[in-house]
Amino acid sequence: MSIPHDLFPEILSHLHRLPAKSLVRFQCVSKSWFAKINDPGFIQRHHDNSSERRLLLQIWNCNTDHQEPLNYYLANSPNENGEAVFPPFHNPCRFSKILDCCNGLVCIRTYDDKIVIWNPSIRKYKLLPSLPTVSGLKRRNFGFGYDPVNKDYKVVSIVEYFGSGDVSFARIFKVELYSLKPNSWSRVGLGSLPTTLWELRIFFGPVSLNGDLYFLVKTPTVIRLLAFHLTTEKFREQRPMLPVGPQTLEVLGGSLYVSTYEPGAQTIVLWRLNEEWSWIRFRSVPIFEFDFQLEMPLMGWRVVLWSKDGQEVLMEMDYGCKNLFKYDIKEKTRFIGHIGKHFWSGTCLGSLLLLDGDSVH
Amino acid sequence: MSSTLCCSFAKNVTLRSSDGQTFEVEEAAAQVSQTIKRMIEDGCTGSVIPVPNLTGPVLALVIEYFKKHSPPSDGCPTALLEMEIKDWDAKFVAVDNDTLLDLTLAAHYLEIQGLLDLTCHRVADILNDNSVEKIREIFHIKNDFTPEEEAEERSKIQWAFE
Repeated sequence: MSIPHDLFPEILSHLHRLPAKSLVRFQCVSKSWFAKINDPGFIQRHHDNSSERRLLLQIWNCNTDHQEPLNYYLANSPNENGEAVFPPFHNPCRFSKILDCCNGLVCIRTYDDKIVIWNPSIRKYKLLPSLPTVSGLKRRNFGFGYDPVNKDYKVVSIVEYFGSGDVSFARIFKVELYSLKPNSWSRVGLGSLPTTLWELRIFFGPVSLNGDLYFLVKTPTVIRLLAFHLTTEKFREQRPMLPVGPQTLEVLGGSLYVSTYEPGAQTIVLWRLNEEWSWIRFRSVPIFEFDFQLEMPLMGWRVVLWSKDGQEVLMEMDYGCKNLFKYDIKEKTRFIGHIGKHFWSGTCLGSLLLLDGDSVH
Repeated sequence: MSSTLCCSFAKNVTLRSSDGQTFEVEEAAAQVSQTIKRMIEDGCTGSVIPVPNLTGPVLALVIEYFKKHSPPSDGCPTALLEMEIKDWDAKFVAVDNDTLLDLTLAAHYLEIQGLLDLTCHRVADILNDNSVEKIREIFHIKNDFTPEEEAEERSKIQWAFE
């Protein structure tokens, strides 16, 4: 007996329970399976239902004698080594910057200034068209997020360059936006940006949430929260008063958080932006101000994730070398994981996105 | 009053498999299948309802499923009952591969969404545990790639086989 043709979609529609890697393999079963797994509708459904979440770890070995210092892993937990993965244009001796991770896609700025969107779960990537060069370039910031209205992934480049003549003292911005579907860059007007913010410096971010990119920006006087809407392509200033001394901006479990440091109590406090647009003190995590092993003070941190039950927090702690730090709120236990010089980690959804794309490698 | 009577003397229907076996089952239970429900509504209940796509042994299994999943006559199912049904379901699909496929086809033909979800989940689990060659064998799928085409596809995704 063989499975009738019209039942294939029915069976395959339940394959969203399967890891992306298995589905890649199943493309070889037959031509109709290949077609089904490459179908945009199937890819979307699988993506929407995927419960496969892994940590993407980028580790730059502290040991300078190491032949291949830069490594990438997909791991189920910070305690395990995970599966080694190789991003596009990987050079184990040159540092590429992970800009952000959105759903299952990772945006990378390579050491030689290429921008790529990579799906580590299926090892496919797309190289973005190169950006026009800017004279007097000072700094480029990139953001990466999903536009739910147009169902498209977008990369924002914010160029800061030295102006000329009368405005030479001011920071001048140029914003460009890349969309995956048309595969092209376009210019974005700054019309909506309040002129008081024209002297801003991007201080943290951007991070993406629900079709917006959020930045912490510093003006000569204050730190503010700025948002860029990926559908309307407009900037706006977010009004809720920030807690004093925000240090990082994070998206965790679909909410926006900032973290602050309380030196007296040696704790990092996490604040969540609630539905009424105010910052609520969410949790505090006791940390060490000084690492006696490394003999270095704490220089920075990032919150990577909260466990679903809210009992565990995973953070990157930077004492010159970065560690993964896991803290159990209830048991008050700590765990220190991988150690690397440069280090990045984020959660990655197992998805087949990019499988059906044009000019995808 | 009439509704009370209806429940105490449940109405039965007779189903006939492709090999001529007949089974008597409560009408309410058989209506777990959307296909049978439509036939009953169209007035086919007077005689035997033919189920030509299912053999006797498969139809017998499906009727077991009907009985377990028929709406309870005394109101809402309790949480305990729901858990019991879940356990029962798991055991129900822990069968050999050919029977599992027969049940999948039966659920598809008789439009029993719950059973279809159940069998497809089980199929997905089996798929995940097996190689491409084994999957073709289990599910009797014809490999329509030429050896060259298959070798080419495999070479592109070598990592997924490791």
